[in-house]
Amino acid sequence: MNRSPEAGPPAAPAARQPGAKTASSSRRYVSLRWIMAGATCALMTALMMALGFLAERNLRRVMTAETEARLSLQAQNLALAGSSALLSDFPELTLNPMAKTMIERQPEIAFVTVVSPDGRIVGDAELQRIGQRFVAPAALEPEGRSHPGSRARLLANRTLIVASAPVQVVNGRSLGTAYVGYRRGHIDEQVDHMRRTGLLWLAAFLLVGGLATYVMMWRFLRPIQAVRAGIERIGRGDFHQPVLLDDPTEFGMLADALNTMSWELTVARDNLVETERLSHEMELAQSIQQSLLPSARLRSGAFTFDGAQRAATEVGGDYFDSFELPDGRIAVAIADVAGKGLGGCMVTSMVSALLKAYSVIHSSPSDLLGALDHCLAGLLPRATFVTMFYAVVDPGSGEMVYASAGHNPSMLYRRRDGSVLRLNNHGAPLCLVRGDRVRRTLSDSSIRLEPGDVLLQTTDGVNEAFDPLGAEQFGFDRVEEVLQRAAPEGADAVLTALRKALDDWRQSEPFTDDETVLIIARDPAPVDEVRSDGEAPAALVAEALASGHALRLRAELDALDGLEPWLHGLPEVSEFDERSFRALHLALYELCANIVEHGYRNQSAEDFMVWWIASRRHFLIIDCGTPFVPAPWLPADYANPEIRRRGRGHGLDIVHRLASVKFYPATPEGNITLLTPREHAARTPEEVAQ
Amino acid sequence: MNKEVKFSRVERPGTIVLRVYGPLDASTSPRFLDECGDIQSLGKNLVINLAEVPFIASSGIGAIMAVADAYHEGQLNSVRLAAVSPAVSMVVDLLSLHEFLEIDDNEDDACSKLKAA
Repeated sequence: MNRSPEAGPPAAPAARQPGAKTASSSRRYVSLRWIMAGATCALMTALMMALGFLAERNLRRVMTAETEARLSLQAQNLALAGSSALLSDFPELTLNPMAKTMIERQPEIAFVTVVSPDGRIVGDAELQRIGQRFVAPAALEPEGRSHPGSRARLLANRTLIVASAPVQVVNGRSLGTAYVGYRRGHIDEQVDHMRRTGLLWLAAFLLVGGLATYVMMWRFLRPIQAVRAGIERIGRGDFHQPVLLDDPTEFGMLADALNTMSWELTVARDNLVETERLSHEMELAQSIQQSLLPSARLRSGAFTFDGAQRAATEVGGDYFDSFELPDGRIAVAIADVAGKGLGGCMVTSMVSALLKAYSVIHSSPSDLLGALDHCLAGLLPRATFVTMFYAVVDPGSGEMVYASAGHNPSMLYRRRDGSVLRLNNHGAPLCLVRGDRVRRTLSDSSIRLEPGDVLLQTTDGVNEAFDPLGAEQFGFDRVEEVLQRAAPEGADAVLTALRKALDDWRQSEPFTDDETVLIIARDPAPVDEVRSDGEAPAALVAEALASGHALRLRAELDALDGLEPWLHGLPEVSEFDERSFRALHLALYELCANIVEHGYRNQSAEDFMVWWIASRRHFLIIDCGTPFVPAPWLPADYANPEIRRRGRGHGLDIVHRLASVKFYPATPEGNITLLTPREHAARTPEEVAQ
Repeated sequence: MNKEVKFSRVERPGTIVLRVYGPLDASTSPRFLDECGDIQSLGKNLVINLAEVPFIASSGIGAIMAVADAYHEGQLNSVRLAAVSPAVSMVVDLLSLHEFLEIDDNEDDACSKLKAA
């Protein structure tokens, strides 16, 4: 048997070279610690810069207002002091120390000057300026703000703030003006100082904050190393070492998830290994099972020994074989081992080997099965048994001797009458019980396979095939129907028809058990043998129409009652003695009954014709039913109980014993049958002697 | 046309004699089998009187062989034929069935042999 080459295992992925960089290892990473520390510093810088800007602006405004208020007050105080000093003869003696003191105490004051109404300096911190004309700083503009209750006046330019207050006596006469000048740069210096201080603090905060953030992140992210190591172990296929991390944060949860995933991967990997092991075992079992089957059909004489097997998804223990024995006979066997998988296949292998060995020792099939039972009983575990049919066929005589150990009944299609016999068996399956008790249930039977006969043997996968609903099995009756329908076309037709019938029955459902079929077919006799008399059917019909006595009969069994009175009315026949008449009547009745049952299948609407041609002393029957080509007649062996029980086929046997019959099927005139009674056929030897 | 076949039963000690009146062919054989099956289910021996059978076809002789085999397989009771008509005798001779069918000249002989067995 040709087997398609098995596909090799898929190519293994290329092994990773040591030191080879993966895509992940070639990437550069930035530590979260640095990211978080940098982000913290940037955030703190931005925050403190914003706060510093606001603080500086407010400070500048407050200091300006404070300075202006103080300047106004100092100018008024200077004017008050100047009013009494200017009434003296040497005002500079009062005003000079006063001005010096003010400048010494407040270095930010640019000048302190009292000016007479005519514009000459009468009081100043520098004595050499006394008497000089006062020149006011350039580009002084009035300052917008004024202080309630103050007589001082504020002026300012880009560098100075100048407060002036009138020097008056009690009666309001003006004695001059007091000026106090203040350098704006002092305020900027103060603000700059504060800014530098703030920047120092900012730097300190950034340093401390950045370090604190880095340390905290280092502490928080430390479990990542353990998680990473665990993931890398899983990547290497090490699922057994868990990630040991007692961490209350999300990292602990991640570690638990990794451990769970690792355990599930372990289970999945184990399941995968088991599945692959089973798959390998199944392939091995199927390979062994296929190797045990015949690679081609066997032909011997007029016999064809063929078979087929369709393996189910789950390998069963079906087996069939046919081989020639040393004496030229053909041994055939079909078996079903209770047990599937590699175990079932091993048992099948043992059965095959033992069968080949015992077949040359035991000529009796039941003896062979008994020897198999004895040997297997010592090898097989209990609850393992084998059903088996074994037969030996003599291609010359057609004799088949068989025995069955609990196997399905054989179905024998009889070509001569289109019937199907079931050859039941009474043997118990091999190894069903121990102690050689099975042997006592086995016995040989024999039957002759006639031309055109087809014997079918199956395993239970055929008759137990379920329909798509799982409600009904295919059953033996359907197997018998297929055999009866297809057997006239030969072994191939039976195999094809049975396969199609099973596919139609099961539809798209997969089959769960092996379907194994064994066929023994004997070639039918050539039709030419039937028409060997050389007479043209048309001439026979013409002769009957011209000179025959005709009887029209309806195609129903009850109508055959008309034969007897019609025969009594025929002059030549009425002269027969009683026994010969009965024989003639019986032969004609059986032939017509065969036409009614098989040609017309009891359809009473049809008619057929019977003629008696006295000159030839024969009957001619023309019917238009299904053509009937019987196999060459061989006397039935009524010593065989199967022959006695079948209840069919006796009719033609009786006809052939009483008369000579010739069939001309499917002629233009219809199916023609010639019946010529044998002389003395029905007489006892004593009568013939008389 | 429907052929007529009739049956009558006669009780004998441990045995029932079934008398058949009419032909045994494809139309009437099923009734004959029913009668014999009914008697076998009673657990008694059977004697089939075939004296009034004018015609027997292959289906009829097949039915008789089936009854004989059924009794043979049952082993508890037996069946014998009695007073077979010439038509039945001819077929029995033709097919050489004497080896498989127990045939007696009359009912009494058949019942005696069954009783003796």
